[in-house]
Amino acid sequence: MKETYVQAVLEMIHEGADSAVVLDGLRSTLAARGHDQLYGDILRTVLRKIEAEKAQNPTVYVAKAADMETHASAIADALKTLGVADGDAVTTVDATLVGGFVAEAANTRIDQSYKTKLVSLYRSITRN
Amino acid sequence: MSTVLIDKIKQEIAGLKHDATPEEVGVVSAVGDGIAEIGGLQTAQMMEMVVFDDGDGKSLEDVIASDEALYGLILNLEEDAVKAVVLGESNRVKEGMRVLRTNKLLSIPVGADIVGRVVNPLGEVIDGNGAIASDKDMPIERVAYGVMERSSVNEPIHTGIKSVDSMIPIGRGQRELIIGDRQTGKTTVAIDTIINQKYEPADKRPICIYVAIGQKRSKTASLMAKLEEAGAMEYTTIVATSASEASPLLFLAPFAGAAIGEYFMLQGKDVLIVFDDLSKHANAYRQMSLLLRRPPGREAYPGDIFYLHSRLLERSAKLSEELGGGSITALPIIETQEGDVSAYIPTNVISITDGQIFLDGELFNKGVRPALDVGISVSRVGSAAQTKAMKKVSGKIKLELAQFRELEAFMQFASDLDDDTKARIESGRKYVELLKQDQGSPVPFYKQAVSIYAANSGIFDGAPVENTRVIESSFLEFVERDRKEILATIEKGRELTDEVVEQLDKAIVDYKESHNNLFVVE
Repeated sequence: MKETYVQAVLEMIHEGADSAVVLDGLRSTLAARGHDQLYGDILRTVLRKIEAEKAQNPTVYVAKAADMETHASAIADALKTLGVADGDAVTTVDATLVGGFVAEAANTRIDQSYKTKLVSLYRSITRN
Repeated sequence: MSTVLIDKIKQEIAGLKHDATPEEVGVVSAVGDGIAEIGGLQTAQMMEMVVFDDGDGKSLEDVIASDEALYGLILNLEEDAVKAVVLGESNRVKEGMRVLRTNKLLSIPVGADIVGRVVNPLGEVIDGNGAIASDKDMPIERVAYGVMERSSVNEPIHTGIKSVDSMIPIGRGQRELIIGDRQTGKTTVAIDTIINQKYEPADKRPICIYVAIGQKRSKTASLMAKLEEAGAMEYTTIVATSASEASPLLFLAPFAGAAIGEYFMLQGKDVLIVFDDLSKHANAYRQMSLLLRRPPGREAYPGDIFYLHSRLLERSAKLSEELGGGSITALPIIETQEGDVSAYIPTNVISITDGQIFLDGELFNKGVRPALDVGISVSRVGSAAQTKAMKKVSGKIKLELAQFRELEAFMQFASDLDDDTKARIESGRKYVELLKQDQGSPVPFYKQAVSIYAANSGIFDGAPVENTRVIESSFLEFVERDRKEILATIEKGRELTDEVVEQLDKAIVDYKESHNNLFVVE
């Protein structure tokens, strides 16, 4: 039963319905059918599925926009490894990366950021 | 900056991996009570380690300034998510945080240097004496060795406790439960056993591992001080978890101890491991399982509580010669409530182990220490491993104590008893006195054999019961001083030959002649 509600809500959101209206409607429908207790559970599952869908979207994180060019070939290789077609990935600038890039798609990631390398180096040195 | 440090950094930089291998990433969808629900890790394995990426969005300086990497352990694989216990400060985990798979089942770094150190269940040193050079990662969970890979228990592990070594002998590779109420001396028996290993020749001395599960930090610290003082830390590793730590760490502690033990066992060495205690371990597992929403069973313990302890204790083994002949002897401890050995966890562990040493609160309060209840204590396999010397002397002591226990109830009618019964009671009381020992004073087996042989030969005849311990210690001093060869022969040959028996008989006669003041009844 829960899965059916989740599916319906997700489909409505994907069709472009206003999420506030969908949730109000969901609450009323559940109340009318005596399924109020499912509300929280359904919301959690919907959110999780939306998050999971977002994680499927290919994204490249770089420290500054110019890094897209600096690491162009490495980024292209990484996206190819992740099975992402050219031009499908969204670029996001994250200054905390220091340099390098992180490519993400479908719950997999290739992390070539300087931040990760430096943290790993720092931890391995201080541990020993 | 010193050149050593520069070289080290250079080595680390050279060793850095630049491979662009994709990592599987999940996202924390819920977190609470040390349990994180993670979505997206579709191919994660049970008992796999994951890393919580708490550096996301933080500057490099902030990440470096924060603590070590935060690990989690996957324990539930569910339909659309996995549940992991957080191995550290769970307040560092936030909803939406990324989680990386490590593709490694939980394992701990182990090396020869771990001996003499205090570590946590993740193998991290917590004694402040610097890191350990590890040469191998040992899996925390592994399937125990099979029947064909084992050999029978045939070598003793001496506890240094007269009552145990004589009547409940323990063999290398055995699992002997120490059970009793609180404050009855359970830990003392285990610690004395560790201390006693210093009397073993270096090549035969087992590596000792003491696993403190949810103990007070003060208790672990004082215990470590005691071991250091006795010179036993040189061959001992402590795996410590305190009561204030998260239940997953308490759950992992004995498995970490077993993993360390296996590292040495596979090198053909003998290992003695103390799990102090499995009652707290069961409680920690219950807490963790309830938080993981696993169905509760009897006393709210999860259904696999028996399997938890059986798979842990089954890892104690005496390996066959082909596998190096190493062994792990386990001394699990269970705390009972009001002496109730029929409770759920005690009966489970009793049925798993190869015998139990039952410590009785009443005996303890009467001053019989160690407060061992000989009647219900048993060792199922140890007698095969007992030294010939101990086997020779222990037969009579068992019989004497059994008769004494039967007659004990009549002691209050002492005046109405016949002489024979009186003599048996008197003899039994002397044996009880003989078996008393101060804590932290284990006695090597060759001295035990001499003491018990002397008792069996009537050294205490004619002496008041109160003088039993004085006579025993002064007789041992006498033998050590004037008849050293007796102790040396027993230590070396591990048996009481006719020649030794003859020498001992003569020593007893000579001792009694020269110490007749101890045999005067006032």
